[in-house]
Order: sequence, then structure tokens, then C-alpha cells
Amino acid sequence: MIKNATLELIKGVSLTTDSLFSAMASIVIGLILAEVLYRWILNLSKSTKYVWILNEDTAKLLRNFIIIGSLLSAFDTLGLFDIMVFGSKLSRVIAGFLLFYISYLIGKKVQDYWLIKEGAEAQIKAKVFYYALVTVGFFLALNIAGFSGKLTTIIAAAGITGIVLGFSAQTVIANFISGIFMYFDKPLKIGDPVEVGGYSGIVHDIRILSTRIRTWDGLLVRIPNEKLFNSEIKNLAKYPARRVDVIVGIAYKEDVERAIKVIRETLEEIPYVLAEPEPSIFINELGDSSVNIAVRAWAPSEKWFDVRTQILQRIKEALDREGIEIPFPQRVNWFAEELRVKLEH
Amino acid sequence: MFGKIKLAQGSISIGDQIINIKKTGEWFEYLRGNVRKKIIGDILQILPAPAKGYGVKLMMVRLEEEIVIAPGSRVEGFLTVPVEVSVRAGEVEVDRFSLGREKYALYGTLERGVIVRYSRGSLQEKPNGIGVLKVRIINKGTSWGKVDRIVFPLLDVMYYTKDRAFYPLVEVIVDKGIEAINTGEPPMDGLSVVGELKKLSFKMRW
Repeated sequence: MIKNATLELIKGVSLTTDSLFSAMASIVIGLILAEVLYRWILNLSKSTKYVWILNEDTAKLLRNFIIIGSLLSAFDTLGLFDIMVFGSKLSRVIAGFLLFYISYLIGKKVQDYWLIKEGAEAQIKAKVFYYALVTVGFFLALNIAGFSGKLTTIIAAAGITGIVLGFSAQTVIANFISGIFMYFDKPLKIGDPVEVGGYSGIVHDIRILSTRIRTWDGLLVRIPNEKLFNSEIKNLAKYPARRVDVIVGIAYKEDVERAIKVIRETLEEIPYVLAEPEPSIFINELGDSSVNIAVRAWAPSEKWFDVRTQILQRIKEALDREGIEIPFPQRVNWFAEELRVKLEH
Repeated sequence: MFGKIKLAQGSISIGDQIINIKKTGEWFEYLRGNVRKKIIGDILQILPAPAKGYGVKLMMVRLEEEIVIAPGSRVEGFLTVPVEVSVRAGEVEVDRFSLGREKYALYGTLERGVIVRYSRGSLQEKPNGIGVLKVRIINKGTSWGKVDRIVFPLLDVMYYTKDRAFYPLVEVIVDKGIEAINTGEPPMDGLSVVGELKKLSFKMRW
């Protein structure tokens, strides 16, 4: 028969055989549960379409969380964590913190997974999930830590802190509010080619306080949301099609009608020059040195740059092939008095 | 042309494209224009694919002659349309190219439109060309209808014979508006099929 013997391992901490058994049971159950959950999620990850959340990383994190949780529970049973922190047991505070940390890690990993798998377009979705999970994790952690009863106090404290911070960090708040307005106004989204604040490039990221643009030559430009919100934003891909405008000058001696026909046929051969709306080609100006023909062709917005370069190159090639001259600038000089030229041999 | 082929030294002609196969040591060299691949194995599949180009989801066929249809009437016919060719080794796509002229258009307004694959064609009684679309135009309305273009959603499913690629049957329903339904169904009997069977409807708003 086993008696409930009392044992003093650490000074002031007494252990009974009952509490030892309970602690051990807690660890064993925790280990089994952790392993079962790990294997279950792992198996599920091979067949589910929700791999973004049910994957090996999540399985590992949850397994570790359960193992550490069972250890904490065991220590708690043994009375090793009978220390009060802000009116709550240390073990509960640690468990709460751990839960919050695990939520953060899962959120981060899901976010990374989405970005790798679906690219920049998934940024908003990934961020919403991340912040939602972290927020839920935060409140659950407060509950586990035993601070939920003091939630109103925390919120009130946060409110006061917010006001104090608000006065001392007006720019930050302005950027934050502008970020929220921009979210609803949607003048641009991640992946859009834009011209803003004197910079031109691709929107790389839209954050709470700032928007990041990767310029065409590969530089990172961080624009505070307040500045962005008050700037003129030129979104180069908001609409499905964009027009390419080119001026082609031909010599006065050339047949304009034939030149227009050559240009029209050239445009028809370029796949991304849209058939509808039809390109328009017309004499734009009788210039100093050339008859200037305006070429206006529509292209899918994402192909605009390629189309422009192709149009220029192919028109030049076609006009050369047809023997239509693109003249150099010419100037006729008139002299007030007759020009005398002396030839020397 | 379409179907499974056993690789051997020589050339394969598909429309305006030519694939050259060279036997070099233990492998075959696949050459088409600038595309060069080494094939370790000797079976390839040459299959038709919808002409999605750089990733569009719709095709617009501008009719050379408008179709004017009486209420309660129906008409069936064939259009010659662009098609793509997917050369595959098992499930791996070795090469993909477009047959005929590649062209796009904006369907809809400049603000809310969408870029679609574009072609022009005339309704004919018999299939003609490599890429074929069979359409069935039905006027379910109470007044005469007019169809000057057909815009239909591109599905992954395609049908084929050795010489021709067929899009699934497209039904154009003329009523208060015009609706194009890619039925996913074979346009004719006796065709081989590739891709997942589906059905998709598209309301032609513009």
C-alpha cells in the first residue's frame, strides 16, 4: 500500500506522492495528446486544401505548446509555481504568454505561406488573418493568465496611454488614420504600377503607417501614408487598357497615305496592340522638318511598356523596309546679302 | 497532328509551326523556333488548349456578318478561332504555343472592361481550319435579335480529332440580353477529350 508520503525537495516546497502522480500523469497525457495532435494534423495536411493552416509548422507549434503547457501544469501541481504575479499565478501568466506567442508564430507562418504561394495579391488577406489571430490570441492569453477580470482596467489604461501618445505622436496618428482612409478609398493596391510623390514604381507593401514602393530601378521608397493620401497618385494599371501615344515624322516628299497604311499593318501584327478599341493613325502636325503622324494604340495596361517599345521598333523597321524616309531636322538659312563662296584649289 | 506521338528523328508540322525532333545520344532534342528542350523518354502528347494567351479568361469572336434571328428560331454553325497547342510529357507541359495570329481586344468600357482574346470569323456550316468553335444561337425572346459578336468564357476542356481542335459547344441565348454559355459538351460525336469537364455561363453586358 502506497502512503501519501510528504517530501521536501526544495526549501519551502513540499511534495506529496499524490501530487507527484498527478504531475507525472499531466506530463504523460500532455505528451500523448501532443503527439496524437501532431500526427493528425500532419496526416490531414497531405489531403486537405487548407494547407495554409493545417501544415507541419502548425502541427509542430501546437505540439510544443501542449508539451510546455503540460509541463507548466505539472509544475503547478507540484506547487513549484506558487508565485503570484499581478494577482495571478506565475504558471497561468506563462501559459497565457505562450499562447499569445504561438498565435503570433502561426499567424506569421500563415502570412509567409500565403505570400510565397499566392504572391503580393494575398498580402491584404494574409494581414487580416494575421491581425485577427493575434488579436484573438491576445484576449485568450489574457483570459488564461487570469487578467480578463481586469480587462476594463487594461482597456482604460490603454485609452489613457493612447491619448497621451496621441498628443506626443501626432504624425504617427495622422499616418495611421490616412492609412485607414486609403484602405477604403483604394487609390492603389499592392502590385500596382504607380507614380506618386515624384517616384515611379510598383507598390510593394501598404502598411499601417507607410506605403512602400519599389522603383523601376529597384530602390525602396517609403512614403508616409499621410503624405501619400494628400498626394496626386497616378495609378498606371487601374483600368484594363492604356493608350500608347507615338509621333512618327516622315519626309514631306513621302506619300502620307501609304505611310499610314504601313503603320496600320505594322500595328495589326503586334499581338498586344488591341484590335478594339481600334488604333487611330492621323496627321498630327506639319512640322518644321517632317510630316508628323500621330499613332494612338491601346494595349493591356500590364503590357503597355512592351507594346510601346515594340511599336517604335517595328514602325521604324517597316518604314525602312518600304523606303519611307524619317528625316533629320532640317533648317533653311536665308542670308540678308548674297552669299559669295570662294573655292580654293 | 493531335494526340500521342512516339518520338523519332524528324519534324512535325502543326499549323504554321514546325517542331523538329533530333535524336542525340540517349535523349531527344525538341526544337521549335527558340524553344529547345531535352526529352529523356520517347512519348509526347500534342494536345489542343484554349487560347488563353497571357492569361485571359474570355474570347471574343467578332462576326464578319451580323446574325439577325427571328423569335423562337435557332441556328448552329462553326467558326474558325485561334487555339493553342500544349505539348506534354505526362502531366508536364514541355511547350505551349498559339496557332495563327495572336490578338487581343478590350471588351466593355475603358473603366470596367476586360481584356479578351480576339478573332474575327464568319458562321459556316462545316468546320474549317485547325481551331473550331461550334455555336448554337437560340432566340428565346419575343422579338427579333441581333448578334454581332460572341464573347464566351474559356474552359480548360477541349475536344480534338487528329487534325482539328474543337472548343466545347457554346450556346448563345438571345432574350432580353445575350448570354453565352460554354456548355463543356462535345460539339460533335467521336471526338477525343482533354481537360476537366465544366459548364460556365457568361452574360454579355456590352
